[in-house]
Amino acid sequence: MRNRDLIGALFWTAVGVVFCAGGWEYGIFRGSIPGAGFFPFMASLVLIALSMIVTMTGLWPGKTNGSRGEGKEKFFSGPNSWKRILLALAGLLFFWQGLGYLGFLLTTFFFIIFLLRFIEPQRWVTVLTTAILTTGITYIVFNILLKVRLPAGLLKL
Amino acid sequence: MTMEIFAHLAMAFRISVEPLNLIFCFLGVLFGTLVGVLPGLGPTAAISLLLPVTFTLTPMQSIIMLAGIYYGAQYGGSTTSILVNIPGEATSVVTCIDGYQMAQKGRAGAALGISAFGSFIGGTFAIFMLILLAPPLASVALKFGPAESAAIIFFGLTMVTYLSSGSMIKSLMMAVVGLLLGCIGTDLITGMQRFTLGMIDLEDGIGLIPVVMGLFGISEVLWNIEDQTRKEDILKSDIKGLLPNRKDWKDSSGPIARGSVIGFFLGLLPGGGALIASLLSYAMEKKIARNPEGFGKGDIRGVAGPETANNAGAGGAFIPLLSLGIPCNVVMAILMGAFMIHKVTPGPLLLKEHPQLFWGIIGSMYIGNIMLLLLNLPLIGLWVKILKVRYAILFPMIFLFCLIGSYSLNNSSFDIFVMILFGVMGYLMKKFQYDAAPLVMAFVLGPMLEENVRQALLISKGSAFIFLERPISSVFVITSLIFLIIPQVLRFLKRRPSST
Repeated sequence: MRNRDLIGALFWTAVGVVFCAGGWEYGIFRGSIPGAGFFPFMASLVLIALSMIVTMTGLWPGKTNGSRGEGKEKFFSGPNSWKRILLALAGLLFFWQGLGYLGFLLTTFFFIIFLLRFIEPQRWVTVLTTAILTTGITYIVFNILLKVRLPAGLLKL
Repeated sequence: MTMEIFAHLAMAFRISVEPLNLIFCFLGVLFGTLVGVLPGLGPTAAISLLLPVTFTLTPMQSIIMLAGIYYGAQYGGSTTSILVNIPGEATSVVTCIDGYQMAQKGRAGAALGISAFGSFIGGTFAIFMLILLAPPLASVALKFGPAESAAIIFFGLTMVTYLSSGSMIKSLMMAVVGLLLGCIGTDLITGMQRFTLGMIDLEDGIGLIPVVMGLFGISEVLWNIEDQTRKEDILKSDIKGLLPNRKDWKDSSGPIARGSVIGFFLGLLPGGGALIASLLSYAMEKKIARNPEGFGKGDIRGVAGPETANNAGAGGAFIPLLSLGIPCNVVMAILMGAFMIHKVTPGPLLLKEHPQLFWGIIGSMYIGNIMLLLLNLPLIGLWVKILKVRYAILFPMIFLFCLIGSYSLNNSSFDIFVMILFGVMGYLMKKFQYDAAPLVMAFVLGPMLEENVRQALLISKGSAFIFLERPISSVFVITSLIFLIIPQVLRFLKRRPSST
């Protein structure tokens, strides 16, 4: 857990440095008036300081900062957990990219099939029925009833 | 004064019983109970999921429905705690202890019944306190200048980090990250583009909905699908006797009364709210009980107190938002976003400029509580059936709802990308034990805080002493600093002997 605290603190320090530099560039004060960079500059200094405290606490011998577990803790809860997470993310990215090209109906249909079949595999009957029903119902609710303009894509619907 | 209250009450009920308002109130509490029942989908995610749907509604209908989801979820959470021993909601964690034990002894009906009645009483108490306290508080808040407003926001954020579940330093870091994310976009005072990386999509800043859906919706699903050892057994036996008997009422009356008061006052505190209220109520009931040995083995007092307190807390949380414009928890922050989407600013001016909206929301909360009482007991069978839907079937729907919701904001794929990004970030934040609530609170309040700080400094010609020279702002700033510094000093002192 201590390693995770250190990695986290370093990441937030980097974020703080980026915002600090940005704030400096936008101008902290114009005369006695705070400029556009004042607030992000001050906030990022606080973030850097807090990250330093977490880093120091992580390096300090003894208890780690706010960690519930000690010692080496596995990052994922099970042996195949990382695969499920990656597959879910792949599904989400497919929807993001596919929506514009394939349109709402096809993207949703394939998206649901993918998630139901590959993350916690279901029977094909369940997969296809759920995919058809979900695609149809969401299309009717969002596109027809709520008038959300969903992309038509290949089917031109 | 009394006549004024009655006049306000009359207005509140007249507005809330309008057919469309009733329908949206019903939909809100029904959906709220449903998300409360389903483990892994909380009111925060549910409200953010439904936020885009409310774009087509009036501000009144929209807020009535979203508020209904929040307090409805408090009711629903107890069902899962009692029947499955998994809290449907974080606020129902302690209900598992005695509620599930009662169910094991064949008293699930009484546990569900007392939690519904307790929730109703706690919710009603909070609404009446809201009617009494919100208007005078709003009139005081009208006198606040930028220094006072900035100090109160600062205090609110401090309390959120102070009362957050994990490490306070990490929560503070998240609050600062939220403030920084709020800086992205066009600076309202100078018109300068900040941190937009030249992208047009970022000129108006990052949208609240993709951020919240990502942090609370997508990340929650990722977290749940990672673990395949989920427990999905539910009580097999029939649920009988939903109406508590005379002894149940006698045992529960004290915890319900105390739970109402504790819940309400903790609900007012920024960062407090329903969760802490329920935990404190349970601890207190156990402490003051003459025969505490029954707790943990199916004691009705351990269900009545916390379930009342979490609903009273949910009601109390509306006061700072409606009267001061300060959300005291993440759900209130999202509701504040919903107000702003409809070009209405919650706060002291709400009562003056939109009295119909203010009183309509309060009236609908009372009607909603009655609906929940009537709905919950007969619908227990339906909730049990819904609990049988496997998460493997449910999670693609949650994903899909998040995706459509964020797309429908601006009909832009960029918002989907932002949501996925924050989903991954939220998942990693959980792994690294960073709390997302302070981030969202600060993200919503950041632009207000920045504007008020800069205006205050403009008035004082750059002197930061303005925050200490004014009595109200000095009280809030000093209190905040005490809350920030004292825990760190205590921690350091505690640690010293072991490290030497």
